[in-house]
Amino acid sequence: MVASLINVLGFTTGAILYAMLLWMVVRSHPPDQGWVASSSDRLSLLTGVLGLFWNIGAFSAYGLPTLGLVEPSPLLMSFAFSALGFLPAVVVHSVLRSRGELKRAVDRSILYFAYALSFSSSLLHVVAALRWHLLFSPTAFLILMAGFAAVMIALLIDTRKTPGSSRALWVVALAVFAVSALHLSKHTGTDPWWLELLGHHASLPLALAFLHQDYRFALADIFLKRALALILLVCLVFGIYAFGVAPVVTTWTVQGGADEPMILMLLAMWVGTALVYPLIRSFTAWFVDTVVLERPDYDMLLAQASQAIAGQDTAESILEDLKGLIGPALCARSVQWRTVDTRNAELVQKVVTTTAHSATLFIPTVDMPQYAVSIAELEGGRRLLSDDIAAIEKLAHLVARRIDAIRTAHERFERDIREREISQLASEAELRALRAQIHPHFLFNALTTIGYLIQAAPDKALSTLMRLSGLLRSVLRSSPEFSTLGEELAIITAYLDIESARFEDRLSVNIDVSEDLRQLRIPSLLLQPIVENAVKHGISESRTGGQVRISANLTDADSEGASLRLVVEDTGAGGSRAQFASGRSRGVGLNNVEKRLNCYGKGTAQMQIISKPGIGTHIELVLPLKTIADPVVGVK
Amino acid sequence: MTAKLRVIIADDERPARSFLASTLRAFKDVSLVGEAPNGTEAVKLIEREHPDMAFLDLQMPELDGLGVVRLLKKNRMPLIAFVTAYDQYAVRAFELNAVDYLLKPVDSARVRATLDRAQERLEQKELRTENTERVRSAVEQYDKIVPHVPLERIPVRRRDEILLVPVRDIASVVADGELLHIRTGQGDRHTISYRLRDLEARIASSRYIRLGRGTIVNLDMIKRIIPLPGGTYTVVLTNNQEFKVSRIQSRIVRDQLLRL
Repeated sequence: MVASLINVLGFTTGAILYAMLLWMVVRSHPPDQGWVASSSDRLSLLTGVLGLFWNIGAFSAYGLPTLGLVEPSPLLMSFAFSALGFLPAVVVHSVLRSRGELKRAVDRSILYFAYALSFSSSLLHVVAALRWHLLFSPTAFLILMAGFAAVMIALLIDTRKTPGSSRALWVVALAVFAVSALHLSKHTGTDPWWLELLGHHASLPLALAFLHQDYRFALADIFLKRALALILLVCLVFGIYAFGVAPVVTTWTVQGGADEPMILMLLAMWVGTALVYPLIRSFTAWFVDTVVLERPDYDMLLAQASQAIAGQDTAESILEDLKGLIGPALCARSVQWRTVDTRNAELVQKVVTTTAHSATLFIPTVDMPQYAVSIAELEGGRRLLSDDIAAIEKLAHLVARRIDAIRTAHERFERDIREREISQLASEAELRALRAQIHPHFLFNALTTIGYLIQAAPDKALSTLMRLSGLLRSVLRSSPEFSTLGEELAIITAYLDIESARFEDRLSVNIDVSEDLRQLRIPSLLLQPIVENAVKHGISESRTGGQVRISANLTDADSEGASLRLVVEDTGAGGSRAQFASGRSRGVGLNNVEKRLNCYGKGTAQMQIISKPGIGTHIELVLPLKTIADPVVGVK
Repeated sequence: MTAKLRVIIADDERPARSFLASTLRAFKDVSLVGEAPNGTEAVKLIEREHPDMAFLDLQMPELDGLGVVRLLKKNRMPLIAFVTAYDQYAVRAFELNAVDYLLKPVDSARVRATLDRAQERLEQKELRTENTERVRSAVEQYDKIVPHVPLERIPVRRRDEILLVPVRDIASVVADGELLHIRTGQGDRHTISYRLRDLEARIASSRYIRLGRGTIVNLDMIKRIIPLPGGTYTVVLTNNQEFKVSRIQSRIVRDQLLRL
């Protein structure tokens, strides 16, 4: 009786398990691939079909007669037994498959042998059914048993170097099969219940193993949590009844008491179980998640993540950290991040987008560029459940806020540095200009010239003196960051007048700048050091002197990229490349000009120097009107 | 009454020259025997006129005041007073060596004091030679402390002329006591009084290599390098000069020139 009950229950469970396996294989199949995309999927599918067919067939053979319904059909049964016979071959196929692409001849021969065994046994079953109306052929089972025992040994030897536990699992499944086959071949119907269980339902562990191996998370979510909760509840109720209620009731009935307390007790238990059930459910959920599946504690994960990214200072390193955390937490084999174009609107709306085996996590930062993290190849048939999604969504927001914070800080920092640099350069330029124009050399030489002129040409002396005081005044006045080209040229003219008096006919000056260009804004005292260099290095170092020419014109005058081109050239001594390099590296005049050009023009303004010893020097500045008219940062 | 002090002035700027000249003319005991508009002229003038004293401007094109002093022969050297508008380095070197200098615009009282000192020195021979030594050491010291731009031309004497030899034309420089023998790529020979180490510091060092204690050669003018037994080399230049490379420098030659 017990044996029959176990048969009915076992085959039902088996049918359900294999149906589940079948369903999961079908469901987890990527929809964009064809039906026969992956052979491991095909094997799982085959396992499911065979197992289901066997269990249904066996149920009709052993379960239904017990319930007194119908007699089993021998042909149908032979098919069911054939299905059972093919299962071990499929399992062998899976084992071999998991080791690679069946490249070795040994692997292939084992596989062919296994399938040959299964095929011959099913042939025997069918023959037995047709000829003798037997439910199965004992010979077939003997063949199966002996054959698969040999296959098992061969496999054990063959796969002994394969790492991992899956080998053991499959081999155990195979062993159980052999037992099952052994029992079936001598079936008499009078075996004890445990032998029935062991023999007839040897396919159950296989289904469970498959489910655990490939669809661990799905199995746990769908089946394990609920089943465990129910079992716990039943145990609890049974325990209370057996050890608490039953004795009381027995004594009560013996004493001939009324029914009301009994009903009360029943009600109490009913209410009690209803109250306890949620607790039990959350306990089993916790148990399955942390103990069975080792799923991460998301609060911990978030805390860990915020701690890790707090120490990082670039978006890239934060995303790398995120990769490192998400991968193990979600059992994802591949986690990649990339920058995304947020004009792609569908990505923006959803932080987490999931498909069967992967998910895309969008990091919603305020500024561009934004990032997406693709999580792919989830292991163990894992799909992302609502709590996973909620957790990684939180994680995405956490990361986005951190990146925003870093960017803001970075931006502010850069702006600070830029401002400081500009103001420093400006004051440096001022100082330098002071030193340049009231350069002691210049000043004392000018005074010497005036001293001479007082004796030789008092009028000229007076006008030169006026030039000098004008120049000093314009330089000493706190100069603004920008002035007009005209104002700059006025200072330069004063300077050149004084130098002409000093060098006399060795220095001639030619300034060719049209009146409308003189209205343009340019950084103040930008040209001055260049002109000064022309005199100091070009004229004073040449015995015969030369001419200093200053000219300005507009390039691409009508277009957006119009630029002011300023040329300062002299026909003086000139210099070699090495001399200019050494001058610039020592941070005199030209170096300062170059730095300021970089600051204002953001790399669009240029300076070009052409110089030849004995011929002269030609320095050209190109200032885009945009950056001149609209300076990057104004300095107070 | 002693004889008048014979002086010359060298300055490339006419106003400055005239200003100093008029200051000097105001003194009765001074006779201005010549003015030079640049260093080369100044050397010629000094050689011709043998003045007692020369007022040399420090900043002159091509050959400056210090260059003039370097080119003058020891026994032809007059008393020197440098004139500068503002040159901290020169002033420091002069102060340290107690060499006379004037600051522009020149002050008549200061000129007077300089002239007085000059008179005194002229009367005592040993003071005069001492002064010459001081000027030379001040010039040397100045060379050391001033940050130089790479030297482009080297002034050399040739009989009555001064040639400016472009540094890139120099094939080799060989030290010989206090003198340096220079050979150009064209084979011209020049001799200057300078220290090899100082010259090496003032020319673009990446274009020259030392072959021994007293020899540097222009890398661009090396024609052949012949290995010798014992790991040293002989270097042949385009002007067919040959130099043996010292043992220590051979290693450097190997590392710098003979490795790919």
